[in-house]
Amino acid sequence: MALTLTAIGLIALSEANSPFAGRMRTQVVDAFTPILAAISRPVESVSGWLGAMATASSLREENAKLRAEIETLRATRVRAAQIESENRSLRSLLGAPRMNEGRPIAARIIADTGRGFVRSFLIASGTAHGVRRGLAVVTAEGLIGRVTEVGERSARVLLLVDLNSRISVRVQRTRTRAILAGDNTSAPRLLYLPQDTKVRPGDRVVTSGHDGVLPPGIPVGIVAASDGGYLRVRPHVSWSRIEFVRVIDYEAKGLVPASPSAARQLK
Amino acid sequence: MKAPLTHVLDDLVRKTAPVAVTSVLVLVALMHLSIPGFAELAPMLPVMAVYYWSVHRPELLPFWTVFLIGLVIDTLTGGTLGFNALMLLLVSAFMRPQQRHLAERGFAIHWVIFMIVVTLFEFLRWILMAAIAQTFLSLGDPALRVLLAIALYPCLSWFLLRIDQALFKPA
Repeated sequence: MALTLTAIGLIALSEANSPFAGRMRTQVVDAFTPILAAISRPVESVSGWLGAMATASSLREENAKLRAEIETLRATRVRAAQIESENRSLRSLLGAPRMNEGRPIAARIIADTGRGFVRSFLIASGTAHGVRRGLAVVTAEGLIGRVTEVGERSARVLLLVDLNSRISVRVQRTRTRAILAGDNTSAPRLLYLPQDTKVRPGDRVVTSGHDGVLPPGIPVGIVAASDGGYLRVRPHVSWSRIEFVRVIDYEAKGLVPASPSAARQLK
Repeated sequence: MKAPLTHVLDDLVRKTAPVAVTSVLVLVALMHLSIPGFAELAPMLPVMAVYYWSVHRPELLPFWTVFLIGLVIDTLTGGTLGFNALMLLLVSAFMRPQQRHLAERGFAIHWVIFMIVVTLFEFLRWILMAAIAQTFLSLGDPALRVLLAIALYPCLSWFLLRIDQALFKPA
């Protein structure tokens, strides 16, 4: 009975965003980091072998698909280099400052806590490596979320699909701003679009930078078909394949919640 | 006369086995694996272990250890503190009195009871989480988790039974 009451008390404390709950979480996670890091390496190797065995039959097909993609990307790279050079000369003509690309901090995922009713990852980098609350976390494919809790050697990344995630985004084609709201499904919703919006499925979505938390221009996903009156965004990132992430330190200043439960206050 | 060290260690391993095995399953559930269905099943692994040990060796999985295991899950997953602690305590408290009734029953009865308990557990968890988040949560994910847990309980139960028999076989 006493334990049940303690558990209920802790729930109340946690929901009241008590600093005690946040400190306890980061300290326990820090203590478990070496254990999780030690276990995750062999487990991921086995998982990788199993995954490779499962895809072995489609290797030839995938190889051909990747070769075709390489050819397309080579052409895109040449075009991107041209545009970058043109952009640089135009910026220099106008005297416009270069965009800050930020300092990347590489981090390994040590635990996937993105199951059940919370969607988050634990990474094996913390304040000792320069990670701070609010920083954007990306892979080569695009944004995966942002840092919400930081310990000395670990940090929690709240994924953009989590129920508490709210990200200010922009639809690239129409330049329309919106809020990307996670709801624990694989495709978060686009909220607060203008009534006469011309956004349609297939449009690319990037961060807008207007929340003062995430820098602008990070690829997020593609607008998917409308569902229940809402447009949804299918993230570029394939969650199951991520092993390493980059935490980008843009030194952005803004309102940063202390934890997923604190993030809920932003709704 | 003092017991030899091997006996003391042997006794220690037996007494801590349920807690240790459940703790290992908690850590396994946090691994980032690309095995199909693992992400859905993972949150149910600690529940399955607590259910098993609460029926078979309740004396070796006291309430305070169940509470601590739940609290560790809460802190590592970043969820509401005390939430999993409370849910696992409820499973354990519900199953302990059933031990006498289930002792002589076959696996089929155990499995049916597990189906009921795990469905109630996940439904209650869904209601509480929706109340805490003050929003409607999809029932699809919890339903899939329950189905996977029910389907895979015989495998995990077999594995835990092997450990149980290896440690507690009569001399």
